[in-house]
Amino acid sequence: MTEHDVDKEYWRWDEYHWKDPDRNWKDAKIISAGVDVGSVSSQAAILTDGELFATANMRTGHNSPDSARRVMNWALEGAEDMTLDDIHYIVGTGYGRLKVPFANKAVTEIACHARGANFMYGPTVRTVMDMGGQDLKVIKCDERGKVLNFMMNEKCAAGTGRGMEVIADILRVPIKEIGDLSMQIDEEPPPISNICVLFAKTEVMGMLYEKMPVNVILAAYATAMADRVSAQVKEAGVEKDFVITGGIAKNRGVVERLERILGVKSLKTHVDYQIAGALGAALFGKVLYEKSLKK
Amino acid sequence: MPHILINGQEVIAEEHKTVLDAALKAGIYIPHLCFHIGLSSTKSLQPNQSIYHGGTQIRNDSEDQYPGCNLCLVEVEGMDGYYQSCALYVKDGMKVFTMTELVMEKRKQNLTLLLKKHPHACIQCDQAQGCDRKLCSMEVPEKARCCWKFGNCELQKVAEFIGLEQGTGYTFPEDFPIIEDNPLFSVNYCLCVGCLRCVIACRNAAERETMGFVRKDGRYIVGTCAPGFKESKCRFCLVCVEVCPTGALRDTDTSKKKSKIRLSISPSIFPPEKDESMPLDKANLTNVPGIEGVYQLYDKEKNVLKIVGVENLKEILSAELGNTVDAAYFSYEENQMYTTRERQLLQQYMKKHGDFPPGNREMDELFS
Repeated sequence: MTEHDVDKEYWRWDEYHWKDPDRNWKDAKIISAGVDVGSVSSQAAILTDGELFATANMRTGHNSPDSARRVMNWALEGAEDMTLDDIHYIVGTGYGRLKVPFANKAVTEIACHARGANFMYGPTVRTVMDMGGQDLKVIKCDERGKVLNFMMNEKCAAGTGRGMEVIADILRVPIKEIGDLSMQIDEEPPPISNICVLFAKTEVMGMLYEKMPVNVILAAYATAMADRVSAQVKEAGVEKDFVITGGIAKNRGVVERLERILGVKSLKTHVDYQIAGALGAALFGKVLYEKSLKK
Repeated sequence: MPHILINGQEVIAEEHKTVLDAALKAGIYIPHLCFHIGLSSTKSLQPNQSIYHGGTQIRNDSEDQYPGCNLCLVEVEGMDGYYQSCALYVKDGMKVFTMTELVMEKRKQNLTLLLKKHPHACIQCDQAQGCDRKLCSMEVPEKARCCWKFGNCELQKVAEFIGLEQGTGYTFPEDFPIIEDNPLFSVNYCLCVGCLRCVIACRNAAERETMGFVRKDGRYIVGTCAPGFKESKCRFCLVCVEVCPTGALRDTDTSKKKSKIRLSISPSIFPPEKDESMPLDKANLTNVPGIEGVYQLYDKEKNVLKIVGVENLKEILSAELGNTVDAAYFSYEENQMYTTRERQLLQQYMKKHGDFPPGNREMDELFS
């Protein structure tokens, strides 16, 4: 190991922006946007006439208004020469939804996640499990993406994206590789007993000290996480179709184990799983703008 | 009819009734567990020779009568000490006090004794609000946590009302069995606090003696008079489930049978919820700080209209004045994590009412 390795940030996931190359925003009648300022990551989604045009996904900084501005600017940067003024309606959502200074309205992320998932996966979605940076939500919705019920845990970062970042750092495994690596095992190890991020850290260090292979430790952590979140989904009731959103949805080590425990496969989509909240916000933005025109 | 004063409030009681009965009927709450409104008192019931937990027989080892839960204590002017209001009969001109320092302290002690073998992390834990019961970051052992009734539990509310003695710590329930011998309900004897409500309900309302109790090693243990419910001549009316103040007796998920007998039972009287609301007017708004927090609006009947987390309580609440038509009262709490707290309160509301508060349903119209 070189001196340099110590400073490497293994938790760092890819920040990116994207634009649909086949759409020209200047043809659009309505341009709406959603900004989801979460505790760990922030996303922006821009829609042209209700279709996804551009997105951006970044880490949330210490200052929410700044995070909102940064992620919106980055989405715009990718979106040819579009500026903030070209957008007709912007909805803020997420933990920092009231700190989106340029938003026309703030909408709770529960509503936005359900609406976004409905768009991403289709009208058959009934259960959305959002595995966010610092909380877990299980949302039940109808065929329009309207929330029927929700349940969440937010007292504890155990089993959330932030917990996974901490583990990535201790084990020096880039976060993107954790899912695959945790599946490369001959036999499932018992789950680690502490999923509390603080205690898990100590336990994982102990395992490292005992020379346990990294893939086995990751499998043990992923299983513990799947166990924990499965209990919560079960309590809310898993109604099909079932989907997982949020950063952890990109970790097949957790997703596949969770599916195994629940006995249900989750639907997949090509749209970024982390974008659901921002996308839902942008979809609400479109309807809100249309309503404002009628007045 | 006897006129009595309870905490200075005049109450016209029925003859030959207890102070507890009179107070509850007048809407004055006195904590109680072993008494259920409409049923006779459990105090002084004689224990059975033996009872069963499924196949296990448990024998009585004492002739002591049931002493009652000892939570309904009150003081009476001109009489020394304190009294169980469930055994104190009304007398014209009686002056009763239900919230004196003495009775509040005694209740605390007695409740702590009652909870000695009942898991009560749900009452003790600082993180109980928002807990999902699945995983604990406070290192509370699983067996000492709470049960399915969390948030809806009469015992929990009573305990919150009375409070526990300092340093009560966590306790582990005894290794009693869970009986699931019929499709309608189950009994988890680990969660029973021995209040005998089910025993008296079975006798009074169902006119059976399916449930009984013994005293063993100083504890009151409830069970069936024969190994199974059917053999114990249970008529499966489920009054016992209806009156149980804990999670011990439980409808099966598929059932929730409502028999005529069950429907004839008055619902349990829970402690009053803490009411922190105040009229929504200019005078009250002047005291609201201009900082982050969550506020709630209520209508005239104090039904929740809206739960909102905001950056500036004073500013947004002032804007609500006259803007939200039905709003008559409001309450607020300061909280920097206002969006999180808002969701927590919304979740609790939804659990109770099955939908968002009316003022939080604004998104509904975007779905037509």
